[in-house]
Amino acid sequence: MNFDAMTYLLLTFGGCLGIYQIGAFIGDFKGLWFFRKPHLTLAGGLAILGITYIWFFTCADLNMNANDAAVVEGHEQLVFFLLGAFLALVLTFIVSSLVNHRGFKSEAEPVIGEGLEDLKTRTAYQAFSYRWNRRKKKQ
Amino acid sequence: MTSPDAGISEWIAGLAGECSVCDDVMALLCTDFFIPVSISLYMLLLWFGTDDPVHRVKNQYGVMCASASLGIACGFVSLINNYVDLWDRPFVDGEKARQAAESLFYMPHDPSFPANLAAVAFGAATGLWIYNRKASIPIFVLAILWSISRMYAGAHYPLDILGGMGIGITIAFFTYGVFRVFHPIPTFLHELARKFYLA
Repeated sequence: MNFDAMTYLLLTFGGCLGIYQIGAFIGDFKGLWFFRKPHLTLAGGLAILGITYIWFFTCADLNMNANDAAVVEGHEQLVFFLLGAFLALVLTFIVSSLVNHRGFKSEAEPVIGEGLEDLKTRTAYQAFSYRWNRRKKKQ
Repeated sequence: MTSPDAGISEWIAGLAGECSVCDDVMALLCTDFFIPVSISLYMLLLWFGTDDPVHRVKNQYGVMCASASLGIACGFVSLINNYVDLWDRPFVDGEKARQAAESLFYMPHDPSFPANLAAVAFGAATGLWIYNRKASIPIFVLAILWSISRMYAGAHYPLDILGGMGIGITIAFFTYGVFRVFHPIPTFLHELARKFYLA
């Protein structure tokens, strides 16, 4: 992966990280928040997104596709975007699970099977581990 | 060979250099990154950022249709470009277009018609419009801005944009038709995403 591709990957990673926080605030998915307070989550998301955009569009070579060796056009853009989105999602799951681990009552019966809805009352780690343990018990 | 609307293109590209603020804005909008990344991030926000579960599912199906339309449109235009090359880019023959491309953008080597950006952006906007008209407005606005900026930068003729737009919109309706006929596939993908707490 060359420097330009890495720069673009960082744009998608930072952009997605910010969008997950903004989306978690709007959707009230407390299990994905990086901060306990909702408005801090929104501000954090906007800050990550804003800083990433300002950094990329002021520092990166925006005409990096001008030469024949262009590496970030067409389907490469899609691949790098998906990779950035995936990495940002993994980081969001890890950080939010660490931050909010004690924030939810683990003894309460969680709502499981509703997908994203579950993350309103559970962290991603709690939701995954609850499902994993239940599967093991069934076996 | 030049496009029949070369005069209009030259007039639009001639606006470059008249206002430095406009040039800066257009230079940002016409890049390969600003609008496509913004459209993708907006769709990601729609996917996650809805509190009401019923409304969220509707948006998620809209995003799936928009993403599929975007991908198919991109592939289809690449396929056309392999066989059809109707005319050169505006900057090849137009003096003002050449100056605009040199100062604001770069000189792409791929065929001018149809405009890939218009096919991709209008395909995504229409794919979302079918499911949620209000939510698709920002993508339509971005698609129009992207199209204008590329004409301003001397990279496309208006006919290139119209051709790309037509392809994108047609493909979005085709994709919606495929989604309806083969509805178990998007339903399966949505259920799969649900299992990983992504939907």
